[in-house]
Amino acid sequence: MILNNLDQINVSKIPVVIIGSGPAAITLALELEKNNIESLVIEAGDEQYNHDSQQNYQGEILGDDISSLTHNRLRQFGGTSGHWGGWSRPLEEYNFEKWNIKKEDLDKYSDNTCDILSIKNNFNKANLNKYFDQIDFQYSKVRFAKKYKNKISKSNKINLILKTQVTHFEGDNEKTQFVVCHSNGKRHIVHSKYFVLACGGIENSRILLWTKEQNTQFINPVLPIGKYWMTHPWMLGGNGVIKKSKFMNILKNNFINYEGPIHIATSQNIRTEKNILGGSFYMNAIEDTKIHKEIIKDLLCIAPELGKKIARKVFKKDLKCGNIFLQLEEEPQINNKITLHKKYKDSLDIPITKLFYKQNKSTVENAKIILEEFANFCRKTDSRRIAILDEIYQLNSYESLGVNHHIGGTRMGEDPKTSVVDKNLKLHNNKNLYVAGSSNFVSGGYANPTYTIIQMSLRLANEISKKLI
Amino acid sequence: MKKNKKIIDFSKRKFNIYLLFSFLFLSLPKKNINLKNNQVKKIRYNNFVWHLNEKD
Repeated sequence: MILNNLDQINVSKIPVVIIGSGPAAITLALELEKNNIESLVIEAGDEQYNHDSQQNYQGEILGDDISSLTHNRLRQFGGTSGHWGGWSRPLEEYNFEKWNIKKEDLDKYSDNTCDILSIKNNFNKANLNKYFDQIDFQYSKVRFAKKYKNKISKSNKINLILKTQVTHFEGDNEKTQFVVCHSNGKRHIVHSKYFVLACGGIENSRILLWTKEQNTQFINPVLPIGKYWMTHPWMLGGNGVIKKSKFMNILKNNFINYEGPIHIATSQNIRTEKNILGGSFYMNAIEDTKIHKEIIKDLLCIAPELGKKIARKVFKKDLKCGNIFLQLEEEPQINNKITLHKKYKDSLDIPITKLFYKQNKSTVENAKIILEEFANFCRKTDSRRIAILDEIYQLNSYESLGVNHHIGGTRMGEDPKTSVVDKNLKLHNNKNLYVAGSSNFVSGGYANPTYTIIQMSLRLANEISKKLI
Repeated sequence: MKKNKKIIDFSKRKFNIYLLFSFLFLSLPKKNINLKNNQVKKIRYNNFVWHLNEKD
């Protein structure tokens, strides 16, 4: 049910308290419900977008420019799924090299994940050469608030309270006793058996850091909370012309023929042989004809014969002509971190986020290697020609098109000096406080994070259920 | 039958020399042309570095 206030029911009898109502939180509550376990879901925002509420997401960014923390996430029921792009794909097996779980630990939740996202469990990959695969994404249109509002309203196992801001946790002897929150102008203390922090890749760290400041004995001081923060660097890498029929000749029946963009991903081989991190890139499904003209004009100037051949066929379906966008994996760096602002506070007097972020030099190096290898592949197979943006070719830097994926900050691992949660997503040195979401990721891979977030939430629901049943 | 055997005699020195020269003159130049065609020609133009083939 959706509660009007926290006094409406005896909340202390509810065994699981989930903070946040985005994809990670709702997935968890739904799965616990299947196991007949009651949960209280606490959302700081309102049912719909609210400008004043959203202002609590303000933060200062030091270092390289990234998208505003007020605009690239949503403080409302359903969380950032209210405006996400829906691109869904699981991480690759090699992305788990440094994780303390394996891909197969998450793959068992794939069918359920696809049901939640209303997508097909069909993720294709076709091997172009030893360095590249053609891949596809499934596009989810699910807005979690819209899809699950009715179900949650009618549920007698899921209790959702909106406009209730959690400030911090308190506890002793490595046990979380209660969570402090503010609702309808009143301070509340909510006791429970298990607590799950699922507020996204910034707030998870912020609430834990504030908890640490409020209660120094409660959280192990060595935990690197907020550190190893990452994103998926997203950039324009170049442009070019791709001949689909050449890809078809190479891939035969494995060619992924669909109406979306052409997606290419790096394989494990290029990562190993060139000692780089991976990435994916795509050429849009439909490009502006202005871009076609510019590319053809350039080609006619530098290679007139080839340019003429391509110009004659540019509007045929076989030829794709346009910009190449990259989405890369980023090296986790201890100095890219979320901290609490010393000066500015939100409406509840909690310090706002201060995010330190510097682009890694390795990102632009990786981008150049990936694009050059792909350009070589296109030349040698005559799958047409690629041009690399000069800024990347010169290894100067890259212009970020937006930072919308917040990864790391409460990374998973065995060692409390380099990780915050264990393989079951439980805070190190704590008996009953868990963290859900992309803040737990050890590496980002090239795929958008929501699919993996949901798989991990389902796994967490299984873990908590085992303790309660 | 005996006559034919005399014409194509693989043990003959002349035939082996012919075979050797055939490979030299037919295979090598072809390989060279392919290599040349596949060689990269990089052209910087309008803020992009095009990766073209030599023959482009």
